[in-house]
Amino acid sequence: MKNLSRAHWSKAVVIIVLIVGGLLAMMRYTAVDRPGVAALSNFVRGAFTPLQGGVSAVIRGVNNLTGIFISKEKLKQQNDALIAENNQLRLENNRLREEQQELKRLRDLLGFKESNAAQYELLAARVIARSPSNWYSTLTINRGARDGLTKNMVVITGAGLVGRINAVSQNTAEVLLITDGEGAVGAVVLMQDTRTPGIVEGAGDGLLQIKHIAYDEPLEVGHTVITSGLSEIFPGGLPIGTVVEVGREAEPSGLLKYALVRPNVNFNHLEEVFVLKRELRSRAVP
Amino acid sequence: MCWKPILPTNVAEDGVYRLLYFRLFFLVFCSILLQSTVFEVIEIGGVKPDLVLIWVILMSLLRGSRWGAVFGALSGILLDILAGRHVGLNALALFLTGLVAGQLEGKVFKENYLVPIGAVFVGTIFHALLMALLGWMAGLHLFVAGWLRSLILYSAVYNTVLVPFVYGKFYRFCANGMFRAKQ
Repeated sequence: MKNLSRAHWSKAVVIIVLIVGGLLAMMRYTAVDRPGVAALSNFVRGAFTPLQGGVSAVIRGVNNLTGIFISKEKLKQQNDALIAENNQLRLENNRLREEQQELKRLRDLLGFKESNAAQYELLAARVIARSPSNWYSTLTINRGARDGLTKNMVVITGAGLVGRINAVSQNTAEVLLITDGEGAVGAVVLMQDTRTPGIVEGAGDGLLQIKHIAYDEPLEVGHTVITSGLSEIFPGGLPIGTVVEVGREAEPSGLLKYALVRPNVNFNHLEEVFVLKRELRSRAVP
Repeated sequence: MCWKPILPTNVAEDGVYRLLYFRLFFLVFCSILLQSTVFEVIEIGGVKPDLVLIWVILMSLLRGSRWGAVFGALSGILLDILAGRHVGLNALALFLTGLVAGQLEGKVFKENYLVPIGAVFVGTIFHALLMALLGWMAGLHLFVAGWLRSLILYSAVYNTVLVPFVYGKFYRFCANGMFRAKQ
């Protein structure tokens, strides 16, 4: 640097300022959806997807192979536990079927519709890649526009809400996880008597947070969080997670508090997901 | 630091540089592929190694600010286009990281392994703080104190641990084309 003449130094500074300014402007310009950027992104993603799919298949194969080496004793223990659990679930399932029938009769009687989740057609998809960066929480699934997927379709697993589709190419779709800072979801915290509304957003470290809760809301660790159904994207009643910490927000009045939520879904080991593809019947306000 | 055009003017060097550019592109492409697939298996605390960042810092250390900054910006653009939003965020963060890390070139003994180890450790922290700042400017919710702290800690340690395994290979990988072209 010290050998540079004044003219060269000035030139270097100008170039750096231009590059920084240009990139900042581009960052702001592409902060919202741009069709051109989406098309370019889909094109690049299209080049990566076949390779990502191949590598993911190899990883799954290796994982399956390592499963063979689990000891026989451990397998026997697992088998016994599963048989016991299966018997218990069968009993519970029978009871739930009875209750479901009863609920249906009562709903029909009252003119209620079934829950939102039952109103959707589910499409199974396999996770083939994740965000290469630590800063974004996204997944790529092996279903795309060809399978009828569109932006903002909701993605779930049996355990609960995963996220929503953020971008769609012909054969793949990018899922924005609820743990991403941009993946906020309208939610309610279920309690025995009351329903506390709030916005759930990524808190980093795999956790979610609900901010700006009134201090007198009876919110406690262990409460269940589900989607509120007030959003245009997420249907109501989908499980999100469980409250693991409640604290007071660091602001002068101290009248608001926050809750940290551990998602039901283990995002580190997601292999298959379901996309809520379309409504089978129109949603009616009870 | 020397601010010559990135592309050589000598026609005889064109082939060597083209090969080098292709090798570097291939390296970044494979790194992104690994980070988006295999590395999920070795995540610690939700953080995986950032190979692209490691290459940018090492490139800056070996070849100076100009190479580091340009290599960082182009790698970042690829990451940004792949993400499809806030295009320029990764590019700017890697550009500035390369620019700053490149200041070490010519001032330190690069053959000593402690130099790249220290550079990657400090460079990762610098990059993470830049990302948080730029993300905040772009309206992204990246500045979450607890998460940022663990992300910085884990990624700095993780990236640093990898340096002894990759530095020698990267040195030779780049030296094959780069230093021949320089001669």
